[in-house]
Amino acid sequence: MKTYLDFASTTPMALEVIEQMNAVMSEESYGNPSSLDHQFGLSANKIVEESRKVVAGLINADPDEILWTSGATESNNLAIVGFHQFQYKGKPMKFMTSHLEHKSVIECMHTIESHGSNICFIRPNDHGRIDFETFLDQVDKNIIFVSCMHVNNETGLINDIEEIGKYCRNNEIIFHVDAAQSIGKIPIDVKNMCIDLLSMSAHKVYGPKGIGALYIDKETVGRVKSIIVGGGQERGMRSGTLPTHQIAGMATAYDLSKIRMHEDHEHIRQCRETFLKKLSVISGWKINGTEKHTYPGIISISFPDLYSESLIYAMEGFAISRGSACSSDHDEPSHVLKSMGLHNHEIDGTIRISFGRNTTLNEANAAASELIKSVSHLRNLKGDN
Amino acid sequence: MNQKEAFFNTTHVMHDPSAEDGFIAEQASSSNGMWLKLFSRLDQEGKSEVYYQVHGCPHLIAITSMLISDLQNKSIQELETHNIKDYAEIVNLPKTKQDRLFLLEDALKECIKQLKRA
Repeated sequence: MKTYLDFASTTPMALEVIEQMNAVMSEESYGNPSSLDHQFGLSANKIVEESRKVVAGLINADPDEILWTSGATESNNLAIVGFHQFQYKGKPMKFMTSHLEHKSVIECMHTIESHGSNICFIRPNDHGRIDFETFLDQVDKNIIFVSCMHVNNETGLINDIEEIGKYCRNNEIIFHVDAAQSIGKIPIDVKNMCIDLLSMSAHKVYGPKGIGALYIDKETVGRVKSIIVGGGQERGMRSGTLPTHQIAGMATAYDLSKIRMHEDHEHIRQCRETFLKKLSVISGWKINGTEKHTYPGIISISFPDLYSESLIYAMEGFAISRGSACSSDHDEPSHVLKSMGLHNHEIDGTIRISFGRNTTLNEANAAASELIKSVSHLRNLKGDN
Repeated sequence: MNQKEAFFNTTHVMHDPSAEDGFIAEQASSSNGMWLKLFSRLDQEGKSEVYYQVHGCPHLIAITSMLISDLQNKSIQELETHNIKDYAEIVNLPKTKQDRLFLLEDALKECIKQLKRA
């Protein structure tokens, strides 16, 4: 049995989530939440609306500002393409994002570009982060929409969301935040942070896959154009029968995360500290990013003299991932690490280790030991030891 | 020897290539940063002794390890008849990684050429 250290990719569902989902599927709430003419539908609808309150509560939003989606990728699509389609009146609009973003954001930007608008990419600072100064240096008066992720999925770096948000609000720029990696892990207050659109998913915080949400500020944005048409659910902005059990699972996961956020964060910080302390006995590696402004659960480590695929293979007892897909022969090198200025050999030697609620300090320690052993083996094969 | 065992087997890894013990080093490299070095010599009876150093993906490492284990104590004629493609089947080499075989083939050919010259 391998030790799972790929929590940035997805998380196992919390027991409480599984129990809640089972309960919802077993109860007489299997009706369509839109079928309000009978008890089955009303019961499902009640669960959906109670869940909406829980999700809204985690980010200080109103429940009617929460739209259910299939996950953060769809939320990003709806936020960017849906906003563009709703606002576009034949005159090009200028959108801004960065190469640090998830592919779903970047692809959406290319989609709106093909529809006639303009896009530009902000360069991160030397540490691979978008701080306020970096943003301020590159933003221009023609930009009407900024999309910036909260926590980077490859490096764990936290961008200056609050300051960027305040600037955007003062300059009438719509501000979208992809919070797939931060929701439930670090505090988010959409009102204080001046966020207009926020993408969320459930499966990164011990909830089920296939469910997410988009926060839409009712004052500044109000509506986006549906990209999935049909029955007109979710106030006409996202058609499709709502999956009651998944929504209930997401709400339970968010509820748990709200209660455990501080405890989880502290535990994960200790895992990181334990891991890095142990790893410090060997040389020839570096962390991509900085220790400051970083979510501790994600560590991107480069071994420039090694090949990440082999490192992962050598770490038999642990499920970790490449920092990127660069070494898989048919994929492009990580666009995130590239935009941070890493050389190809550094990208080829990058692994990502991510800790979660379930990780024990012993596992973090053992992972570092195994990594040291694996590095030594691969360097031995190269004749470097 | 399966892929995992081969990956971790270091029996024929060359640790000290600078030693003056008659080994001939050959290097082959490919464009994606992976490389392979073979160190070989013939003993007094004309039998081979081959060692290696390698940097690359787990498939390349495993195949190299398997191949080099099989190249020990062979005559040049026996080395020439070795079929590298057999190892691809053992490790289920993905199609996208077929270039690893070329890397090995080139290295082995050079190795045999050098041994013949010696």
